[in-house]
Amino acid sequence: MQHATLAHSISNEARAAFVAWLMMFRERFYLYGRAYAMDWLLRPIFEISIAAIIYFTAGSDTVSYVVVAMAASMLVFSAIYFVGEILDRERVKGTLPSLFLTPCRRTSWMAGYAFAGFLETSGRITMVLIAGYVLFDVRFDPNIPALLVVLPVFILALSGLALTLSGLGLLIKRANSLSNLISPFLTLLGGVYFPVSTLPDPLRYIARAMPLGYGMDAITAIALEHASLADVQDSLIPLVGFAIVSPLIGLAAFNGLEALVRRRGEVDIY
Amino acid sequence: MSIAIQQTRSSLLVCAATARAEMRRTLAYTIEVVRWPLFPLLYYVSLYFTYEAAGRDSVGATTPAAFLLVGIFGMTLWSSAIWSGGYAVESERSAGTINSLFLSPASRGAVVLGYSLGAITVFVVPTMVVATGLALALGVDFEIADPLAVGVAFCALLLAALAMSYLLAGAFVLTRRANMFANFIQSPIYLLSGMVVPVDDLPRVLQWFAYIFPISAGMDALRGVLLTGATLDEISGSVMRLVLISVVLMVAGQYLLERVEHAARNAGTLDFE
Repeated sequence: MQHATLAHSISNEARAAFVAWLMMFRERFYLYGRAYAMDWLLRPIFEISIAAIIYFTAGSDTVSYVVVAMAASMLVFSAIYFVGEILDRERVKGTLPSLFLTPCRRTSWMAGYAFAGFLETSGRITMVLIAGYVLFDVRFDPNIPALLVVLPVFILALSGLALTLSGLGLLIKRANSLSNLISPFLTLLGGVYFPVSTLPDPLRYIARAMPLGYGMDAITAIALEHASLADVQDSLIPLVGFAIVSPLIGLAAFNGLEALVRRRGEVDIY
Repeated sequence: MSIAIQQTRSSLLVCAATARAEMRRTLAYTIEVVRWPLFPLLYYVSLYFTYEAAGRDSVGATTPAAFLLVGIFGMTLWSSAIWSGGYAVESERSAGTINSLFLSPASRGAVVLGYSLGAITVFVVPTMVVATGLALALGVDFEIADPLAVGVAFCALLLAALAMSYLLAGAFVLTRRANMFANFIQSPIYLLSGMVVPVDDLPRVLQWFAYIFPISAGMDALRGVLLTGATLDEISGSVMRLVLISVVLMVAGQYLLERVEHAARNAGTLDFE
């Protein structure tokens, strides 16, 4: 009897996640159809072009690094702009209280939404990598098994940031402004346009206190130089540490902030 | 004659009221006050380190820090042109007040200008002041031979940004994809207009864009007078080009705003998504 209840509960949560994914997928597909694809897919290519012109003119081959780092940074920006804004977006649409009252776990529908974001981000990453190959003559030599280990670790390390921002967005009610506030810091300190190791000391110390630079170092080495996990262990070990700690901190922050907003009765106020 | 004076006075009042409203809207949220100037400043630092990482100690006739400083001025004005004046009519639509705006006798141009002036006060000026401080900290040497030329170049750059706002105000609304276009046109312009990389470094076919984009001419003039001691005579070509393009943009902008007005009054579809 208990097994049947558990199975029903799991099936219920899985269905909620699937329906949430399907709904978000349709919403994003609709937006893409309304010409948003032009912005979301092409903008990173212009950003790479800026770095490419700076590096090419100096005869530097760092462009390959920038292409892969820009592709990886799509995950970072998805964590900020997509997952980080989920709750506030629903609030603006007026659907947040209904979602909170839905008889399923919050993590289920949020996971469904986040998966839609992940699929969209995968499309953008593919676009950036193709542009790197075609326009900037970047030649990839990926170690696929190593990449399959590092990418989930990197995503886990980012999950804390996404969850914390999601809670903060709910609290301050300006999630998009918060994302816009955070993202230039992460561009500067995250090793997108240049490896973190080239930053001056004070900024490098700050950058090394975040998972992004480690992730970029590991991913670029694996994607461009066929590096193995052993080769990137200096970046991988701290990244694994962040992947363990970050979701815990993120969940705690999210739960705390959400409880605060509910206590204040501000779930649907903006 | 008195009607003309009355209309001018009314337009000035509308412009001042709109500017005040735009400033109050921005200042109402601390995060908005902080994040608007922060983006160009951090972008400046990011690109400065990109030049450093590339090992480039000169860009054109100057240093990367100096080159980027004027680029950030251009970028700030461009952002302001997009998101304030350019977004003015769209903001009214989002707020559900667009039909009221078009039923009121207020000058549409004054409203667009008011949005721009509000943003210039709370976003452009503070950003430029902080960027200049940052540039000084990064060791930028200014070489100013003709202070009047600095004023002229700066005013010309401002005129170009206002003209761009005017054009975008109508264009954005007519596309019905204002947010998407506003977001999209940022990065291509950073690349193609000489804000963050020299136009000479672009492939030749792309250099033509910078030639017709008004803010590029303004930045050329400002770079000359601020960084290489150019005089008014030396920048007169760029300034004239900029003024001419700005006038063309204003005329085109007026036409588009009339199209918007037509859509609002005759078709009654302007507040549709």
